[in-house]
Amino acid sequence: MEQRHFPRPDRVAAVLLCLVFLFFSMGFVLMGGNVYQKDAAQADENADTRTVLAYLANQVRRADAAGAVAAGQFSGNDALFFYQTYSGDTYVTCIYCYDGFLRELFYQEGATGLGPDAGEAILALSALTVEDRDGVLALSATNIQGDTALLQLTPRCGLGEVRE
Amino acid sequence: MKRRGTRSALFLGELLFCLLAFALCMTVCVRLLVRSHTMGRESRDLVEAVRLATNAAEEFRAAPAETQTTAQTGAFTVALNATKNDGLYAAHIVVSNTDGQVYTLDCAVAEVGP
Repeated sequence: MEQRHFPRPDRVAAVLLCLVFLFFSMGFVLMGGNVYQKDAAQADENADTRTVLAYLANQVRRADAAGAVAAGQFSGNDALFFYQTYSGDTYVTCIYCYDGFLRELFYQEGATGLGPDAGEAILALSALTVEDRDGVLALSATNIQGDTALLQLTPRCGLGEVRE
Repeated sequence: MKRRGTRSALFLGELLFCLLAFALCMTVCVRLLVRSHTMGRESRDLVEAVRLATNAAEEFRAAPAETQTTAQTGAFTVALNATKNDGLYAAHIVVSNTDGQVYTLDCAVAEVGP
């Protein structure tokens, strides 16, 4: 009759220990990866909106002069207009959101035939609303993930009118 | 037979020691991960609080007045306390959440003459 061999208890213990080691190490790596992924994604979302708002705030403060900053519409999109005069000619910098991007368009005042796709795409952005709330410029930016952040600015020289 | 038993015990002891060392390293790493997660959340809260305080300050600059207001924006409470002293409006803005005060901002606007 053939004798049945059982594994030795010390070998079983060693294998069990190895399995525990493997289980914990796998669990730890997965958990660490998950936490890192979440943190990185949230940091990215935060940075996207913050970058857009910081860019817009800097543009407004840089251009702050009497009648040089205006809130209006460009081709049906909310837009910010900045007017600057070079050698007697007035140039316009128009910032708006179109087709998933924050766009900037620089043109001479009175130029015709410019569409919303003519602007230079700067940053990915889902939506931008620009409002004049009694002298306070309210900029609301929505990033690709759908998070919206509001920034309010009060230009020292006030808001001007959009020139045609 | 006895020698084999001693070798097995040594091997098991070594494995146990490795497992303990691993557990110790894992504890340190988990603590680091938790700390980084907390720091990330605090950083996001601070950025949000700075933005809310700046918004309140900009609104105050547009129409300075002696006032005490409290507004709830998402998880944050923005409290503004403005006083007037010798033609200067001063505002103390406090942004707080459930963990407590996150950011404070002091600003002042000179009264514009008639």
